[in-house]
Amino acid sequence: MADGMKISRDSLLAALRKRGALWAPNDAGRWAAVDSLPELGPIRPRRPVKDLFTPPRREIAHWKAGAGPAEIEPAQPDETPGSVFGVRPCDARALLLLDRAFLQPPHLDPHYQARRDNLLLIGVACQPGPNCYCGVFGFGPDDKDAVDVMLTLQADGFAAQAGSPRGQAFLATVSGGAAAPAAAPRPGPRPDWWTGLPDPKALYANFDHPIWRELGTSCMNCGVCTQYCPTCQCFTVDDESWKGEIQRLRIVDNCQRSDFTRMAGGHNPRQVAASRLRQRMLHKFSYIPTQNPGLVGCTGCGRCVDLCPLDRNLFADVFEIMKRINQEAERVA
Amino acid sequence: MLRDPLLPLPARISERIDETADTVTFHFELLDEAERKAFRYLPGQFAEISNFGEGESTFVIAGDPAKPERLTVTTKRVGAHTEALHHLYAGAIIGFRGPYGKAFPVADWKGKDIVIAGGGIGLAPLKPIICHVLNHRADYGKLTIVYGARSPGDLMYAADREIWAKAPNTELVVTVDKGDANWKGREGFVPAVLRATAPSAANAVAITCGPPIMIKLTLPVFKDLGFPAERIFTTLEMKMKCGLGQCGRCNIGPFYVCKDGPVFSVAQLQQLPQEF
Amino acid sequence: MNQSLRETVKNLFAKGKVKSVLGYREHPLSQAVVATLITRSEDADTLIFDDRCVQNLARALTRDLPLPVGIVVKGCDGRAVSMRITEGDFAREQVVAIAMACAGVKADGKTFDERCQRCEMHVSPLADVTVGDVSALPKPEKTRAETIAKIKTMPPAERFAFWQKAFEPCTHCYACREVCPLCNCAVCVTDQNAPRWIEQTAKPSSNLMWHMIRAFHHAGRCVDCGECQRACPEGVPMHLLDLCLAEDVEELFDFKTGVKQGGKWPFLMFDPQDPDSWLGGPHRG
Ligand SMILES: Cc1cc2nc3c(=O)[nH]c(=O)nc-3n(C[C@H](O)[C@H](O)[C@H](O)COP(=O)(O)OP(=O)(O)OC[C@H]3O[C@@H](n4cnc5c(N)ncnc54)[C@H](O)[C@@H]3O)c2cc1C
Ligand code: SF4
Ligand code: SF4
Ligand code: SF4
Ligand code: SF4
Ligand code: SF4
Ligand code: FES
Repeated sequence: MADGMKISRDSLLAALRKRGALWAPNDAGRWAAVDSLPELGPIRPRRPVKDLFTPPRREIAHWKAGAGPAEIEPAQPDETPGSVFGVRPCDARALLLLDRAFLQPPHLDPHYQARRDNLLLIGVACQPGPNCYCGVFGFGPDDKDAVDVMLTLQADGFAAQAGSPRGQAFLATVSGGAAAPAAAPRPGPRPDWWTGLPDPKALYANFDHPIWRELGTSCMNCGVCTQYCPTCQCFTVDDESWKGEIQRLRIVDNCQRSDFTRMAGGHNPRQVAASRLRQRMLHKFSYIPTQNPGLVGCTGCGRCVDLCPLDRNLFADVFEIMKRINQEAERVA
Repeated sequence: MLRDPLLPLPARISERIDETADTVTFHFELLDEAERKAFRYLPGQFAEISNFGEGESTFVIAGDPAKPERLTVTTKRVGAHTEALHHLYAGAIIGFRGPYGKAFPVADWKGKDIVIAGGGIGLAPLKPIICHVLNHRADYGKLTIVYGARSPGDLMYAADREIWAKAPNTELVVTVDKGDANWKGREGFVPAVLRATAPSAANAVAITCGPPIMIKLTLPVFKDLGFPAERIFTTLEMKMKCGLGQCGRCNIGPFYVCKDGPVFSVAQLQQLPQEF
Repeated sequence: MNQSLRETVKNLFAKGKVKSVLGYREHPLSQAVVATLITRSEDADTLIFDDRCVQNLARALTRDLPLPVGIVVKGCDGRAVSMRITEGDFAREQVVAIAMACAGVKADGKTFDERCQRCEMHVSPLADVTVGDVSALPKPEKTRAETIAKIKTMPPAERFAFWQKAFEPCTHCYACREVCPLCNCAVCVTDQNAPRWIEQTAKPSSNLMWHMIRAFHHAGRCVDCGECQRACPEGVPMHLLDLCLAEDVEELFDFKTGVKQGGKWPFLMFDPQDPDSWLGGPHRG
């Protein structure tokens, strides 16, 4: 069956540039505007692709100090058509989770929506690394479900498959493409000890389990895991002024921060490390799956494992928690 | 094009009332006429209010839902932004977005007695319920309001209370923790005064708002009076930023307080983790 | 060393000297070394100590742990615990320092960390018990002065440009703050909003503000464990600045952080005799 295509690097670039702006990871692992197709690393870059869709710092409006109500200038959504090259499946799947947060009626985020509508996701299949966990979530390094086009690097170009009708239409604009059979999807990596996703209800039922407290000592709530996570959605809203110009901003935030839930007067329902660690783990593995059956708040990109200064491994911790809970349940039965 | 839900609408303060030493009520109107005419809200819903350039914070809309063109918030000075708000007077422009959150299910309460126990600024979310009941007097049974504050100077809504005191089939009991030389009314804490007032639970719903300690002590009184957990309501306070269920801040269990609350029945609260 | 560590900890439990112990364990699944809190003598068998024990556990010391709490410390970690006692975070008797003979650790798994190569205090000066052979520890291969010489010799304008560029990637995530054992203010200035001292988003002004305040708040308090640097996901070399200040404080105030407990310490002490060369005096190199 010829549902795949063989395309050259040059014709891909030409078609992408015809479409509009082009984005790709730069050497620092950030998403930047580029003119050519960069060489990619083997796996996802340091920063998640969500930066292009829900940037860490996004203006809501700006105005001059002392301005009247008519002079408050709302930020305009960026509707530039373009493409993002080098998206990895874990990052693309994370966007499906963010869609759930930001494209939910009645409060759609028009900035996010404009980017989603206008940016074509060009996936590139990875060479999984030691901290890649997509297999835990049942997909692999060339998964095309959340991208528009999935490419696999070949000696003389790319093998391409459409992941969406939009991607299909785009591939038709790439010149000189030849039909080629599509390769079977590759399974994603997962640890050999992993036995399956936890039961969201069982995790939630053990909200007061002492294990949170025990794990609490191994986490300093530095927030790196949530800052670099492709699925984390949290933000804060605040005003900043600079030389008479004031901006209302939507600024990335995360549940590990000590002031995330600290209320006026100083009361903080999540004062201790363990409670914030629990929030992160439960939000991803219990609350999101409960609210949206079929989704999990993690796509296995492994950035949190890579970057944690305390070398915590989310998957090992989830596994350990479930093991403890299950053992105790058996003992009771 | 879609409007950014985080973008506030400009509104003008029409009246400022200094309720107590640290609490100010602002009445205000949306500047845009079409928006003003179309705006509706229900008792218990809240809004995000900004003093532009100083921040944004969450307040319950504390007005009469039947007069949605005249919006009201009552604000207590506790931090940076509320401090900045208190520098504003009639004529000033503020930002408004809302209404957000689930309202008190006033429609389900038709035909029932309503018992309200409020403390301090906790009267703010209760006021729209009182207005609603008085606007639809025939739809509801007896209205009992127990309202308390620390001292006579801490009692809010003097003008409203005068109206409520004279309203048909309404019992208003005002109490202070400790009176002063001029105080002729009741002394005592809300839970104790509620117990003494002893409203019937037979065909009634109870609503309570106030400082956490007051709520904690009031709930057992309602229970003793015979109110089942399904018929006691309160609002949950949790730090908020967006009000839209997006910023993640008010997440508790599988809920967002801003979207799935802030109004909860005690029965619902019992299902939530005891995090707050 | 693991065996004698475990015996020591069991002994502390047996004698009732500790109610809990903070230490390192190897995670059975990820094989990574992670922090652990044990509250029972039998769990001492999970404890380890080797050159993978990079983390400074002093940060995990909180007053809500079952006290007295034992803590497995390297030289630098012990100085941090000691400084926290000096500053009044803990009473001396609430903490039992289990001082390891630490030859150095390897964050990259291959070579000793830079700080270890110039370490002068392989064993914690705060030591209730000592584990391992303290006589066989390496001598420093280089000095702090060498590490910071590059910066100290830059002319002011060049130095300013260097720091501005160094701070540029900072995203104000504050991971460096969270892992620092001495960043223990109840509400950090970065989180205060009345007034807001440091804007929440990154820009040259707020980056400079954050890193200046951070460095000054660490003057005479930093113990050179390097956790901040290691935690930074953007590779900002902010610890270099701490080293520069540490050098100055040692020189000007004759104070070495966390070596002695109690007494006065420069950060919170004012003395009319204090050197003031940096207050309008001739510019120090
Ligand atoms: C549903 C709901 C309804 C409320 N209704 C009222 C009301 O009618 N009147 C009133 O005086 N107060 C009300 N509050 C509390 C009010 O929102 C906070 O007191 C206020 O945001 C504090 O702002 P600040 O800037 O002065 O305090 P700071 O401590 O400086 O807080 C900074 C920011 O954090 C957030 N924040 C801090 N504390 C709270 C909190 N307790 N709740 C929500 N956000 C917080 C706000 O965005 C605030 O701007 C309500 C809170 C909620 C959740
Ligand atoms: S987790 Fe999977 S999809 Fe993500 S970078 Fe690794 S191999 Fe690719
Ligand atoms: S990165 Fe590690 S230490 Fe930091 S908050 Fe996440 S789990 Fe905790
Ligand atoms: S939780 Fe960790 S592995 Fe999962 S998506 Fe986020 S950063 Fe990646
Ligand atoms: S609550 Fe925490 S884990 Fe969940 S999206 Fe927000 S920052 Fe991420
Ligand atoms: S220096 Fe690094 S760790 Fe510290 S706030 Fe900046 S980015 Fe975060
Ligand atoms: S206030 Fe943002 S999610 Fe509730």
